[in-house]
Amino acid sequence: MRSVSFSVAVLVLATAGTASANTEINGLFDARSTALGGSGAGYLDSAGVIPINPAALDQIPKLALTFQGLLIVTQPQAPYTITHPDSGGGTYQNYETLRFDPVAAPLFYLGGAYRVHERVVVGAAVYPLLGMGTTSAYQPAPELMPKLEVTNDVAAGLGELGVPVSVRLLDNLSLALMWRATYVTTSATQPVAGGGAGGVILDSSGNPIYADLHVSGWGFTGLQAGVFYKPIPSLRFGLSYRSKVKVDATGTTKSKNPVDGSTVELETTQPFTSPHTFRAGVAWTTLHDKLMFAADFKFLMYAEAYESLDTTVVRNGMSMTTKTITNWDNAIALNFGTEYQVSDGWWLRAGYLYVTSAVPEDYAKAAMPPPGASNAVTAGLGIRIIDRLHADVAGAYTFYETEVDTATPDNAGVGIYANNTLQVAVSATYHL
Amino acid sequence: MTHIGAWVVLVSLAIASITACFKEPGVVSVSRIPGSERPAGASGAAHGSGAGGAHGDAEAGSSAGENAAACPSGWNCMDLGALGLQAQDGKGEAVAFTCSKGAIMPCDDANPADSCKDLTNPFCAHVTVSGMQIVSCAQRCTP
Repeated sequence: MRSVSFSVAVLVLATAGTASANTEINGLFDARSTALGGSGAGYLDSAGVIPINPAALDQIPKLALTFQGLLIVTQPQAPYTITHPDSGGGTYQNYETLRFDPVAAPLFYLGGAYRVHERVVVGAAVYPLLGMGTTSAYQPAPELMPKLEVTNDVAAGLGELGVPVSVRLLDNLSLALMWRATYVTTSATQPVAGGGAGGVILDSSGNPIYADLHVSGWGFTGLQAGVFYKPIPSLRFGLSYRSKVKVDATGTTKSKNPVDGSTVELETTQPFTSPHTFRAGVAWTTLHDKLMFAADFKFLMYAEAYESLDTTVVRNGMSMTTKTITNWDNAIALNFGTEYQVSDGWWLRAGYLYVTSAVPEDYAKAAMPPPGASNAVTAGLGIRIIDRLHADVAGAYTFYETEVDTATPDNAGVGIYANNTLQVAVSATYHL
Repeated sequence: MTHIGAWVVLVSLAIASITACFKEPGVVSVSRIPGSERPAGASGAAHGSGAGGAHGDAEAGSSAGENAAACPSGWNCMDLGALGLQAQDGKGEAVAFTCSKGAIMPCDDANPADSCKDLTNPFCAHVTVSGMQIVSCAQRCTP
């Protein structure tokens, strides 16, 4: 009974790992797009456009190969419940907003496209859609239990292989269809919540009991469709739709029975969903194509995809599912960018990005993206290194802070939820 | 400017940006939780002093309440209800306060005295937390 019951607590813990999904990361595919506020559906002409709008591959003359390296550095901040002694020998609790050390992660993009016919371009790309890791360590009862430090390590990744085909129907109209294979991986080491003064279950030595979750899985049913339309030479439009993909990631959760110290290993299934996503973009060029203005709008249907996080564990043949209510909202992203060719082979770029969070304030948790909205400023430049090789570099800083003033049973409490982020991206594209 | 020179400048700017864009870790804001106050002897946590905040940022601590008289040395009288726990003894009677070391102590229902040698009048408490039931050494006490 004790072992089975303990697995319920581990199950509750396991749901936190999946909750790390970020609602939108700008600049994962091409540094030119990053510098222009993450726009690109209406103008991007590198192989970096594959996940943004595969129909825009029609702009490729013969061949395009694109590689990007992105360094993303983020500093998490969220409220935690901390217990303190009072002057009368009793205790009281605070919501204390703790800011942790910045966490860095490199992400890479590799894509290629080839014109197989005067009207047909095919391609392939491997790219991340989510890549994040966070580590936090804090003392839940610093004076009462000075030796007790609780750590949370969460790393999550969502990547895809995309294989698009773009077909030019008219001289100024192209359509594309892309098949997507989606890979999900989540690793989380977190304490098992309990009723002790530190809010965690302790072993007989007073150390926190942790649960290590490792799950991964593939989904092969994703599709993406795109439209690229150029009514006049200086005006381009792009439309794109990504289908929802739900991947059942499987693996194990390992922990320790707090009573007898024995190892607990549970088969774990944790679904991860990439939501239905719509994107529209426009690009307008003037001054003999030296100046370009671009804008994109993105709509992500998180509300129907993340009503709850359901995690199932199996031990001794017994299956148990924990449902954590998330009630996420749909999210939007607005991208604006401008590019100016200052001389032959040099371009200057700047942009702005506004993204609403899918996470409601009433359901905000430390392991999730903050609620509210983020604002990002971006800048960069492009360089023609040789005739067929372009390099782009971009930087972006995202301001992402929201103060929540109402504690609910489903959020982490009152405080400032934040995830300010710096990104530096370098990409290179080879054209034929 | 040569291409190499431009890249050196850009990389330098990137490194400078990374260091300038982030703030020192620590406690950003504090908000008291209404109704979280517990009287002396009810916390179940050991007394002492230490550091507080993220990554152990220094913050002077203070002494917590001493153990209730009913508990042996090293044990505290813990208010289970205040911690959101429901507990029953072997007869099915509710347990409001119990001696505790802040950790689960294995207990054999058939022979609590053998399982809980430090306690003078022990029994096995069946504690429910987050849907989980744990059996741990207990001893009634008065805060």
